[in-house]
Amino acid sequence: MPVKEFPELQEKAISHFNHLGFPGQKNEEWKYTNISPILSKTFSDSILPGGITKNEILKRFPFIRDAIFIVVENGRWNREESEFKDIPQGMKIGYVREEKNNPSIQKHFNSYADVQDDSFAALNTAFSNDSLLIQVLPGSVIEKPVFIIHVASSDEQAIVIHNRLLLVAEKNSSAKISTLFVSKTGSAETFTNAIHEIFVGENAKLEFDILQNENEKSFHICGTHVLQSANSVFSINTVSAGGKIVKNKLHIKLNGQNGENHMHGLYVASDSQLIDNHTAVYHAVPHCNSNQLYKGIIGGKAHGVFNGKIFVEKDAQKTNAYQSNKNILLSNDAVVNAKPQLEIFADDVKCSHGATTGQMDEESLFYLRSRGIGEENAKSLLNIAFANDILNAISLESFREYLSSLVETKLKDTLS
Amino acid sequence: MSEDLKILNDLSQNEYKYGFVSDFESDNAPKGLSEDIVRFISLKKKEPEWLLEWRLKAYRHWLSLKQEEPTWANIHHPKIDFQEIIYYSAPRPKPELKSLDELDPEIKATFDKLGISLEEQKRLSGVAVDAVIDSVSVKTTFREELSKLGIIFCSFSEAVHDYPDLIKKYIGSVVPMTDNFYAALNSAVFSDGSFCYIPKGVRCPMELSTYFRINSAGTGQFERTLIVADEGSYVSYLEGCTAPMRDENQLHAAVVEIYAHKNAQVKYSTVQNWYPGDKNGKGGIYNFVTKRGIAHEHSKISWTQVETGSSITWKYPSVILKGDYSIGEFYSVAVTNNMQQADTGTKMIHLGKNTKSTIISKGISGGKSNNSYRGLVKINKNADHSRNFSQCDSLLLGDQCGAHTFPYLEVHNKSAKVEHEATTSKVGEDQIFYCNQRGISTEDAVGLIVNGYCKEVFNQLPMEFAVEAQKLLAVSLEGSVG
Repeated sequence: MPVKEFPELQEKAISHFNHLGFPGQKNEEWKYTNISPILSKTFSDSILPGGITKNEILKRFPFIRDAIFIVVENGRWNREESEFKDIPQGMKIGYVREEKNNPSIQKHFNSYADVQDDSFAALNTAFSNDSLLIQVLPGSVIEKPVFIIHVASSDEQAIVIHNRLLLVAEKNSSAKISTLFVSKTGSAETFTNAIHEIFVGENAKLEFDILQNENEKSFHICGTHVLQSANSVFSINTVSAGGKIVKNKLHIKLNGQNGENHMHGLYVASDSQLIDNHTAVYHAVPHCNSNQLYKGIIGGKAHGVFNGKIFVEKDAQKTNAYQSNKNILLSNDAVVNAKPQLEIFADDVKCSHGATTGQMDEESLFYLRSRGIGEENAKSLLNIAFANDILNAISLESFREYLSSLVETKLKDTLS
Repeated sequence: MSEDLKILNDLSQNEYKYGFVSDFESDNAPKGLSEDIVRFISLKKKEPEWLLEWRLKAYRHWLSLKQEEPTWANIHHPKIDFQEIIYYSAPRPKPELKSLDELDPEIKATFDKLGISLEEQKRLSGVAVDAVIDSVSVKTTFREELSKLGIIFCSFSEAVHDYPDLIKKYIGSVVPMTDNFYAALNSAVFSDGSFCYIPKGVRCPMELSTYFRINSAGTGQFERTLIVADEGSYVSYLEGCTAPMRDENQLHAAVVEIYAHKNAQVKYSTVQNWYPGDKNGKGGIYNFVTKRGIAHEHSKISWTQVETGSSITWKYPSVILKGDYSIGEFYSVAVTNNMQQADTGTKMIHLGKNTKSTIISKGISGGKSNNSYRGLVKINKNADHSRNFSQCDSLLLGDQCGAHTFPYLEVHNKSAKVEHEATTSKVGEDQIFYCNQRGISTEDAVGLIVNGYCKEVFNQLPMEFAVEAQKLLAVSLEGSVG
């Protein structure tokens, strides 16, 4: 067992976990997501980095060529294969443990993740050992995109990976950070349990993208916890395509007036995949806007789950909150469970949500076919258009194009 | 404090208008629940052996639940002591009545106070009223007229004696005794209720209605209603309630079952205005109701409810769309004020092909109340081309209350189309300003706007009820008007 980064926190997290245990389906948060396939496996956490090279990564993800990228292999930062020499001024990338004596960093660390209530957050806190820190210093505007590439690089052995990131965007700063979760091979069963803690300071502007495209045998549970200060703008785009059981949890608290956020999510599931997105937005103060759009395309015997919550606290007057969830079912064995939820305690608010589940619009399909486009192509076009509503929110063009073709390929495989 | 806030506060402090206690003697069972009490109720009602067995089976199932009432709903109340409740009370047995004059003058006066004069109803509106006071049916009118068409409309206990085959066939067929905690309790100790059977191809010529009242102090009321609409028949059924003012909490756990055969249509409307407790949340009725209908091919079940009373409402009128082309509808207005809590909604279970369901729910919360919509739309794997549309709107009157929406959408079929929309808002200042400009006072304007907001649901109610519902809403919205 390696030396612990934060022995005290980690001991505490273990005791929380012992108290919580693993959630069953009686737990409302896990009602539609059965994790017993994960629990029935034995995962080892002994693999060390060394399996992947910079060249391989650049080949797979050509769009990161001019960007800064951090390679995190099996939960450990692989510094040799990363590219972070030209970190722009105003940005710091390092380990959280290096800032142990820096109270302005430590006040954020482990403060947003719900270690006391969520078993997986507790597990992550207990066992993650290379907690990454990205800090955007006050007033810095970082134009250069930053990517974090999480690679699960076991060849055969089933392994568990605890990734952890603390992202602090200080006052008046601006940045774009994307994180990718991928597997090195298609053969190993891996279980990724990631936590992102994000602080968005006053007047800061932050875009955070997540792509989850691990192999079809992998399990993925990811918690993203965000605290937004006054006048901040935060956008998050979550794209889930790979994995066998995937659960993304997103909690955002609007803690300063005039905060604004945009949440976009796309999940494309086929075969027997299960992709679950749980979001919760807490409006704690007045005059904030939140805007949420999640879309799912579910084929095969796959299962899509969406649960979105909007909480408006008593004092959060003049809140404007919107949430929409749209699903397309491609096959008769596919299942969608949606649960959009509103909990409002203030009267002067505008909150609405909508959810739809159905199939492709017959008339649109007919329109395309009547213009000589074959059925398969027409369907694929419509699906891509459906997905692009989400992908268009990603500001980095090369990354967006990569995602678009990824979704297109996946849909083609699903439809044929 | 702004003007409308003051008005909203005033109206949320309205006292309950229908609070009074009529003191006719009750024939009460001792407090508490045991097998003996179940036997006592059954004996009192001279029930056949099979029904006693059925009750006992339900009681034993209820016991196996270890007094753990469901806790998932968004409501809070002290734990109910089920041994502190009187499970049976009946007005003293009287010889059968031939005309209204023979009715206990106390009971008659009670109805008169409520404005539900039996004579009026009988003479003017042509509504047959099966008046239920404290669990035992006292008076059934228009029965003869209905019987000419073959329609059976009587109290549940009469039906047990006169139509045992029908009861035996349909009781528990829609809401099994094991369905949930309160359904099990009801099945064990139900005191009375209404039974209605519409034969094949008959269109019931009048609106059938019952009025429930809770009367004896500390009496739980366990109604059981069973409506069977045979092939191709039609019936519209009304249920309305007001209750006297009480300080202690009263439990009401009713069960309503609707069985719609092929091509049948059932419309069930409720106006519920039980005592909601005072402004501090003291007293008031706990209304824990299980309502469900099963719809066979081409049949239609429609629930309409206006819920303004009860300190706690826990109620999910549901439809199982079993047959192909069946239709389920749910229209609801739920108003909560002061410390009231409501967790209400519906379940639409689509099993048959080409089934359709519509959900329109309007929640209005004022005072310190909490109002939740909780609904399930489930499209089963074989329910091809099913269609659902749901709309849940919440209106907040004041900044102390809460509105919650918990919709569950479970879709297992690709050809299904499910749509859900929800909004939360307040009465717009511009809307009030517009009315003020045209000489309408702020309090009238609020009433007007809220009534307009509920129109979609009120339009579904039968005429008499719609008038009553609008009045009820007006009453709960007035307070600042002299």
